[in-house]
Amino acid sequence: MDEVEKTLNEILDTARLDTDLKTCLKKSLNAIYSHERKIISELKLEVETELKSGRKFLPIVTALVPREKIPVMTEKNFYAVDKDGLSDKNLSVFFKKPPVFDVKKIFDESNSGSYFLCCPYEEVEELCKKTFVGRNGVRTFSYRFVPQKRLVEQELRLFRLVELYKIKTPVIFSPYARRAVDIQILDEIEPREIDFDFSGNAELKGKIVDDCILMWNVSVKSNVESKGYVSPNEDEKFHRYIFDSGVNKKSFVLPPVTSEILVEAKRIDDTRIDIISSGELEDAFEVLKIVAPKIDKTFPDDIEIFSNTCDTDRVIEKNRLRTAGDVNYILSSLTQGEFSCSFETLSNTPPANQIKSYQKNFGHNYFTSRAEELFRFKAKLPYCLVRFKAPEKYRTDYANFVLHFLNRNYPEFSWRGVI
Amino acid sequence: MDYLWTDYRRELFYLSDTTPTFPFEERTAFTKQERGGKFVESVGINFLLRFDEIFLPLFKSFTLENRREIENVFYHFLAQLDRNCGKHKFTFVEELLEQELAKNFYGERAGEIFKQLNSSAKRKVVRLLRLQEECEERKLFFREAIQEFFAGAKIYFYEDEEKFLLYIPQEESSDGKKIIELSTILFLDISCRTPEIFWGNHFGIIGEPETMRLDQTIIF
Repeated sequence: MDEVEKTLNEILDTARLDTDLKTCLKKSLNAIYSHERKIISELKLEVETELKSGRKFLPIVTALVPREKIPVMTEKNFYAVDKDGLSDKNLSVFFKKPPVFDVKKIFDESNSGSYFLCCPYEEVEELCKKTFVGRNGVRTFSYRFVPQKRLVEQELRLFRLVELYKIKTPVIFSPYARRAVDIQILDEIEPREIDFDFSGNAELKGKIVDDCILMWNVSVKSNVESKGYVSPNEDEKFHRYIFDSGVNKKSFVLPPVTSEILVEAKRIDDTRIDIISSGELEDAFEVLKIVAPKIDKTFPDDIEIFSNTCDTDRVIEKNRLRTAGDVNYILSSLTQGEFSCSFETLSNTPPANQIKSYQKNFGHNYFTSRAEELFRFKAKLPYCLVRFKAPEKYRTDYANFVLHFLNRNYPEFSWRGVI
Repeated sequence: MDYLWTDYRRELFYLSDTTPTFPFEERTAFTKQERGGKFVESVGINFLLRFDEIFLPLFKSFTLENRREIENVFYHFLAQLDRNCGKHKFTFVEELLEQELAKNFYGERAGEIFKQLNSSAKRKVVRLLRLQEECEERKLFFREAIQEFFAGAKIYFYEDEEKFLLYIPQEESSDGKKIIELSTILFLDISCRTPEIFWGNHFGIIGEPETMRLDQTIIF
């Protein structure tokens, strides 16, 4: 009962009337008042809906899944990020001297597949300073981890998608895509001389895992032909490719990659997408569907999931940031569970204790073009410093995810993370 | 014209004025009425202007004492309806902004200070925030915020040191400092240095006699 209704009931209680009459009046006035409140809350909802309408968000969830749990996760609407990784156990150990026989026969089954780092990036250098003795005691050898970018490259389609469909929210938070590594043996040595189980080794146990694949809730269908095509004519000087079969509001059509042809996507209702281009395209499109993952009580407890969650359910959509309140508004929307960020300060000089960017770590810059990198580097922008709180293992990943989103959407500052 | 909802107070006893002095006035003068052995402050309402259909049947149905009590309840209810009636869309936006401020969406410090404000100050803050958002921040409302909270306040820009100076014509207080801190977070450009504040006494400006007062001027 709110203040006003409480006041009216108190006035009625102190009125000098018969009890029956008081009860009758109370019921009637309360009924009228709750009807009034219902109308006001409906109006409030209408205003809220109007303010928040038109906002687009792609909920992308990723998970690192052991091979034995792939069928369980497939039922939960997860798909392999790299389909080749499902059927073919690619060996991720590379030798300086290429072997002349079938390497797969030398290693145990459990030793094959992509490796994933499970430790903070700062520990990687220390891990690579070790040398090991092969299982049969034949030779010592040294090694290093080399970033495997196959999984990250699959994300390019999502970044193209958000540009084409004008989606402003964070694209993808996928730490393990960036932690996929190959092992490069640095000595000239035959595989049979080492016969080594990397992930089972005591010193590396818990630091790297193998026999896992990365999955996400995106279904990708390649080489899809358009259902209709309109060539340039007097009324329209562009090529139009029409997709109206098997398309819904969670589907997105991606044209083939082109460098000089301008492309635009138009969603017409929820059942048709048109791709409009300035030049002719190969009729081999990709259709992506973002499927809602089934995260319920039967979801395996031991599988970590990462999502690009951003609180889009806010009254204001910020297009520019001018005050400290604005910066905090955006940063608080990127907070999820144990991962949070807050505004530290504005500075004219770069901070000394910066969180390293992926570019410096593993040579990945979220597909930013070289030209854009130079423009940003040369622009004399103030440094907006953000403090991050996250589990130590994933702090760099979370910081890079947030900083990339901020640099892309709010380029008025040069965003940096501080420890 | 004074309406039913003008100067509404829950302690007032409203009754129907059957002989209004001016036929087009809704609320007549305050009087004292006897009620249960006590005298209560009461207000007469000319129900013929808007509420004739509600109150005329009461004259036929109830005794005088019952009718007066029922009328009082009804007038309180109608006054509340009047106050809610015609809610503008921006009122809803301000309510939503108030919730977001309280949830620390604008930062923990802003949320902490906002929750300590009284309801009138909160309304001022959300109104200015809404106006700022409607301009899409092409204009910042820092000056308006300071002048809204501190009547007679002045803002100067000191070019030599590139900073803002605030003159607040009241004594320094923790509440005042919190309001300025909140205004700085929500309404001042992030790249501006924290303004220097002068409480109570103005700093002297040569050539401005009003500011050059013996024992009432700060040397800056």
